[in-house]
Amino acid sequence: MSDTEAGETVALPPPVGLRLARALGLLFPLVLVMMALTLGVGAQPIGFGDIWHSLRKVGWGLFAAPETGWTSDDIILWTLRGPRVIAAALVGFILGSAGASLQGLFRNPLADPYLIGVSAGAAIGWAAGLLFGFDQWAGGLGMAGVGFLTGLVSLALVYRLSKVGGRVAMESLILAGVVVGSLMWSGLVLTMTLLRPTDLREVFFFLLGNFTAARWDMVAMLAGVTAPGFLALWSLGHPLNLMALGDEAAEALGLDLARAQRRVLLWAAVLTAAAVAVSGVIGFVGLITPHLARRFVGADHRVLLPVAGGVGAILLVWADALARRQDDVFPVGVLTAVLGAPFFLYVLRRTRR
Amino acid sequence: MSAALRISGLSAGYDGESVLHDLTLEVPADACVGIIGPNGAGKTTLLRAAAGLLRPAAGTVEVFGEPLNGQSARSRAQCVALVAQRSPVAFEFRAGEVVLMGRAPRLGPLGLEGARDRERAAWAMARTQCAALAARPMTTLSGGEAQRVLLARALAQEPRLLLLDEPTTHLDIQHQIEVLDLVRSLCAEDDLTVLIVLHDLNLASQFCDRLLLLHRGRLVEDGPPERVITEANLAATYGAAVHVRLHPTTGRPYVTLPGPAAPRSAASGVRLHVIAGAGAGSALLHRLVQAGHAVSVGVLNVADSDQELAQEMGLARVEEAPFCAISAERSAENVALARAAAAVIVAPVLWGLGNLSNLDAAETALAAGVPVLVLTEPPVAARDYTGGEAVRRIEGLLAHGAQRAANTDAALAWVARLLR
Repeated sequence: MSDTEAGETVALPPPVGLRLARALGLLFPLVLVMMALTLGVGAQPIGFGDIWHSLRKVGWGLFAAPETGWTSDDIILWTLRGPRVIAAALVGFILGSAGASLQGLFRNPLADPYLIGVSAGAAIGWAAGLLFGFDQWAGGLGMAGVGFLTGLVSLALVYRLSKVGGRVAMESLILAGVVVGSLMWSGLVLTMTLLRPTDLREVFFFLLGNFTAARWDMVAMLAGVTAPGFLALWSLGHPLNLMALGDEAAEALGLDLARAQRRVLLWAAVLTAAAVAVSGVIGFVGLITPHLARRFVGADHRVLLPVAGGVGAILLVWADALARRQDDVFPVGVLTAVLGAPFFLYVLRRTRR
Repeated sequence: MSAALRISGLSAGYDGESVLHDLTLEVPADACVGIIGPNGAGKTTLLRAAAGLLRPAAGTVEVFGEPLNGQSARSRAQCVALVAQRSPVAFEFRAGEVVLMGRAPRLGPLGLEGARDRERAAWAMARTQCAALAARPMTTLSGGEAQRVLLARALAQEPRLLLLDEPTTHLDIQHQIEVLDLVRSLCAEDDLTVLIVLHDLNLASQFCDRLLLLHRGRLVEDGPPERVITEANLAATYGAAVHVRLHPTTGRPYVTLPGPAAPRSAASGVRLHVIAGAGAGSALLHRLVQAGHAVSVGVLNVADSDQELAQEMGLARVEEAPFCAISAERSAENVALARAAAAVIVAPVLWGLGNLSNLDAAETALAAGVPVLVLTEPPVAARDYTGGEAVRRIEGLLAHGAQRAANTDAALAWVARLLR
C-alpha cells in the first residue's frame, strides 16, 4: 500500500460536470440522429432527400394540420411519424430515467417504473374512460388525462397502504405496489367484460403499448410533464447516491431520507403516469435501460439519470420504427418484450461476472 | 473544555419499546472510548442516539455542548460521523465515489463536489491507506479494504466525533489490528473523539483507554479496562464464566476461555500425583482431569503457570512461595501426597536446584511400591540445570522400575492400562 500524500495521485472520479458534459455531449446528438434516421422508417420508407425536401416545403407548418398541397409523404412524415418519433423518444427517456431512479430508491436492480402500481392505475382509468365515453373528449387527450390521473391515484393508494406508524418502508411499498397492482388489474378485467368488442381491442392494444395514436398536442402535453418532472428527479441524483449506502449511512450523512424517498417516488410516478397515459404499458425499457447506462457511465445517479433517459429514448425510437416497419401488426410493446427479455438475461449474466 | 459527548438521563428505543434506560455518561474530547456488552445490551442504539438518528424518549444528547435535538440533520452530520455495521453498498459504486459521498453534509443544494471536497476526500483516503483503491468498485473489496474506505468516508465528513459500530466484525485478526491501530492514531493525531462498539473484549481492552459496559440498556461500569473487564462484571453481564488475566506486556486485562468443563466427580475413584512446574505439566494435568481422574500436583511455586492451572481446576496441590526453592516442609507434604497416590507421573520439567527435591516424592513413592512414570521427551539431559544431578536421579528411578513415556498421549495410555 503506497502512502499517498498528495491528492493528485488518488484516482477519484472526474467531477460530475465533466462526466455529464462528456456523456451527454455524445449521447444527445446521437438521440437526435436516431430520431431523424427513424423518421424515414415505416411501412412506406422515405429517403433522406425526400424528408429534407418535405421539411423545406412545410417549414414550421409541420406542427399544424395538413394543408392542401401536402403530398402523402408530407402527411405521413409530419402528421403521423413526427409526433410518433418524438413521443417514443420522450416515453423512452421517461422509462429509462424513472426506471433508474426507482432501482436506486429500492436499491434493487430488478425494479421497474411499473412496480409502484402506476401502470395498472392508468390502465384501469383508460378502460373506464372508454366505458364512459371519454374517448369522445378532446380527441385522445381526454383519455390520456384520465389515465394520468388514475395512475397517480393508484400511487397515492400504494403510498397510503405502505405507511406504517408514520414511516414508509421501501419493502412494504413494493408489497403494496404489487397488491394494489393486482387489485387494479382485476378491476381492469371486470371493466373489460363490460366493453364493446371494438373498445376491447383498443384496451388490448393499450395494454401492449403503442404510439399509433400519437399527435402533436399529445406530444406537447407529454413534453410539458417530462421537462419539469425530469428536472425534479435529476435534482435528487445525489440523495439517490446516498441511499445506495444504506438507510442508516444516508441519514448519518445528513440526508432527510423520508423526504427524499417521497420525492423520488412522486416524480418517478408523475413521469411514468404521463408515459403510460400516452403510450400504454411498454415493458422492459425501464428495466433494461438503467443497466445498459450503468455500464457506460457507472452508478452515480447524477450522471446515470439523463444517460439512462437518452439510452431509453434511442431504444424506444428504434423499437417503434421496427413496429412501423411491419405496419404495427405487432405493437411496439410486444417488440420490447420479445427483444427485451433475452437481452435482459444477457445483461444480467454479464454484470454478474 | 466541554465534553465531546454528554448524555444525561437518556431513554430511547424503537416503536415505543425502550432499549436504553436513563443513561448518563460523558466522553471527554479526544478520548477513545469503547462500548462493550452482551447482545441486545443497547450498544448500537446508544451509537444511533449519539448520532442523532434516534429521537430520545427522555433525556438529552449534547455533542460539544450543542444539543442534537434542535439541530438539522445536515449540521449534525458536519459534526458527528457514524460508520454503521457493514451494510453492502448497492450498485457498482467505486470506492472514490463512496468517500466523496462523505462530503454530503457540506455540499450545496445541487450536490456537486468542488475542488476542496475532492481534496479532502483524497486526503481521507490517503490517511486510511486506501488511496490505491479509489477506482475499484466497492463490491470487489475485501472486508478490511471496505472498512478502510468507510472510515475514509467518515473522515471526509470532517467530523469531531466519530462513532464506529463493530468495525472489526468479519475481519481476520491482522485486519482487526490494522483497523483499530488506524482508529487510535486518528484519535491521537487528528483531534477526533472516538466512540467505538467492540464485540471482542480483548481488542476493547487493548485499544480503548476507557470502556463503557452496557447491560440491558443500562450503564453497568464505566472506567479504565482494568476496572471494567473483571470476572465478576463479565459473569454478571454476559453470564459467562471466563478467566481474566493481565496481559504480560501491556498490563491490560485479557479474557480467556476456561476450557471444557471438568467432570464434577473423578470417575476413576483413584488419585494420580503429578510432578510439574513452569507449564511442563499443563497439558498433562488438563488431559488427566478430562479423562476423569482425581489429580494432585506438587510442589509448585505460586504464580507458576502450572500452579495457576491447578488452582483454576481446583486440584489438590502443594504450593511454595514465588521463586523460592522448595522448603523441607513443602517437600514432605509432596512426598506424603505421592505415597498415597495410585501412581506418580513426572512431567518433563526443567530441573534446577530449586525444584530438584520434587524427585524425593517420586523416589519415595517408587520405593513404597507406587507405579511411577517418567516423561522423557525432551531428553532429561537437555533440561538439566543441576550439573547432572537430575539426570542421575531420573536414571536411578528408571533403573528401579519406573516406566517411561514419550508424550502426553503415551502417559494417558499408561494410566489407562494401569487402572484397568
